[in-house]
Amino acid sequence: MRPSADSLPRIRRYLVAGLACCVLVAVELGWRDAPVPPAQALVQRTAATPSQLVRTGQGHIPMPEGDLSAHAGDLLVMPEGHPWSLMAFWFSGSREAAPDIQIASAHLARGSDSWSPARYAVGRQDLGFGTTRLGNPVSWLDNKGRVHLFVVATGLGGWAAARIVHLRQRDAQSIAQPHGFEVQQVLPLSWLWNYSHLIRSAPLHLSDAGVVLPAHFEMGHPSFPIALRFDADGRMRSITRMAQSQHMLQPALLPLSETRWLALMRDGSPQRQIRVSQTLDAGAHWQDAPNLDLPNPDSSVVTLRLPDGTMLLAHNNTSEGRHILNLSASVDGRQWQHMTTVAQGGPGTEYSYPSLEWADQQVWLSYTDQRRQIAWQRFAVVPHKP
Amino acid sequence: MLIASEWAQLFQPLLDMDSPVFPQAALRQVGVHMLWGVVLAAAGWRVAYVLQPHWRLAWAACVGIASSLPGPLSPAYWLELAFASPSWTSVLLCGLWLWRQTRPQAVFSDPWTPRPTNHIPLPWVLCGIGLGWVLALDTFAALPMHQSIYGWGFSPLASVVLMVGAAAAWIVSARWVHALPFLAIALFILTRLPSGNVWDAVSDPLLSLYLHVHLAAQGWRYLRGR
Repeated sequence: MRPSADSLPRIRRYLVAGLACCVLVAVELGWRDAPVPPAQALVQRTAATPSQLVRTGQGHIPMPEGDLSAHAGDLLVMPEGHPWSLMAFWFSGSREAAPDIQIASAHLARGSDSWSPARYAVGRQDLGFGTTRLGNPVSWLDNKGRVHLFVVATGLGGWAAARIVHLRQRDAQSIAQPHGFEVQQVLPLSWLWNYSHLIRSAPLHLSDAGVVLPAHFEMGHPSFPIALRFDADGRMRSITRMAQSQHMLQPALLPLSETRWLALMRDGSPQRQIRVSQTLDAGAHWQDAPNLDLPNPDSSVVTLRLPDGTMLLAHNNTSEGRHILNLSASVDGRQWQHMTTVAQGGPGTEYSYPSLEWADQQVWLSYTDQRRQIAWQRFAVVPHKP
Repeated sequence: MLIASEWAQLFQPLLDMDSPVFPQAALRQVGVHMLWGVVLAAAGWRVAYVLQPHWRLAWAACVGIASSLPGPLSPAYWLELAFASPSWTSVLLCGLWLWRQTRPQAVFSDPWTPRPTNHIPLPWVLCGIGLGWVLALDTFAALPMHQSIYGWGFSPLASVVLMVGAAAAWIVSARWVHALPFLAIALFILTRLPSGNVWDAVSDPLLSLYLHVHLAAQGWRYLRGR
């Protein structure tokens, strides 16, 4: 039996299909928001020589009671006038990728050196469909004062089955409460069951109050960076591939000017050098750039541009192992000079996954300390004296 | 008469690449259950071929309805964990197959016997397989192009081009079964399910795998019949 012939005469089929197409085109276009105009990075000044850093404080962020493992800390600067100067998010539980891992958070009261007790900001039960384990958190404060949290969460499988979940604080008070976030969406980033997309580094703030969130695809050896643009309301607007080559992970965005940005990346290849991609048109197009002359032991790097133009890079300055964590500075993003050793231990120790922020006129750095705690350090910035 | 610049202005919204529309959160919650419910009901019907027709129908209905249970009680929860959501094409194919199997005049038999009602038009099978390969290679950035093809699926142009192509195929073919891709895109435009990306609405990896098997089985039957 062949499939039944359409009982509509041809002319009626034309009319039905034509009318349906017109209605659907109108609906399709009617759904759409106005396009976002090109936006630029917020860059204040450029520096001729990098400023110097002087350590002014250090310590550990309290862990949730009973948790033995902590990793992938992320700092968030709170707006001026807020009683807190910083928030920290990290994943915490019995061990990495354990089902009991939750996203913990703590805050630092303005003008204080002591962090609040940790609380759980997001657990698996907050995510609903499509997630079993939690991983790296990345936070963003929008211009309405709402905290957005992007969290790596896996489907059935390991990190290769990771998806990125976008959450936002439920209301003005919920940021101080446990589990105060609600899911906005699981970001749709690929056709293949939406697998293997992860985040690590802070978003780059744009002149239109939106951000570019760096992310990467990683399924075994194939790994490449992507840039996700969000508008001021926190809606995802576009996906842009950031490199032609593979084995680049965890991009950290560094604006050299309003439109020229670098992405410095963890190297998953045997070269073991910090990988680079660049854009000259504010993220519309990206090209591979030569590697930095700095080693990378397949470990996360982060960047920060200070208001005076000095660029900072926190990185494990070795080809193997994560036992040395350094802070380097640059004025052009290509030539980096060692500023200070943040942490150092023997082989097998780990000081990794840093996060850098500028708050209260100082540089704040957090990092994973031996996978057991999140440590922090604070630096005053001293202008360079020739 | 419209001059060139006015035409460009008219079509500009179609070319907009950065205004994706995602399904509403509440609709998505319901949609996940509904989409998987149809697929599960068809799967339930297929595997229960040893049962009497009315028991088989009851079983398929139970499996489909079970997907509306909340949280981990629902099979849809676990399927969503592993496979995200099925495409509208998969859902419509399952729904159409289930309807053909369960209507009163259908002859119930074991599912492994070749049946003309299982026929999917060959051009659609080839298109589905080709699209699956392109999207799979695009996922791994293995195609010689810098932009993400998946990212194009958020643009109105992709939806409209696919819709017009599917509508043309239906008009030319004069067969209702050819209207299925058009219907899938229409449902996507109206609901934005499953993800707001048109590629996720017209194809999914499980459907692509099924089409490979279907093509191989059709080819085997053709060779055996020569």
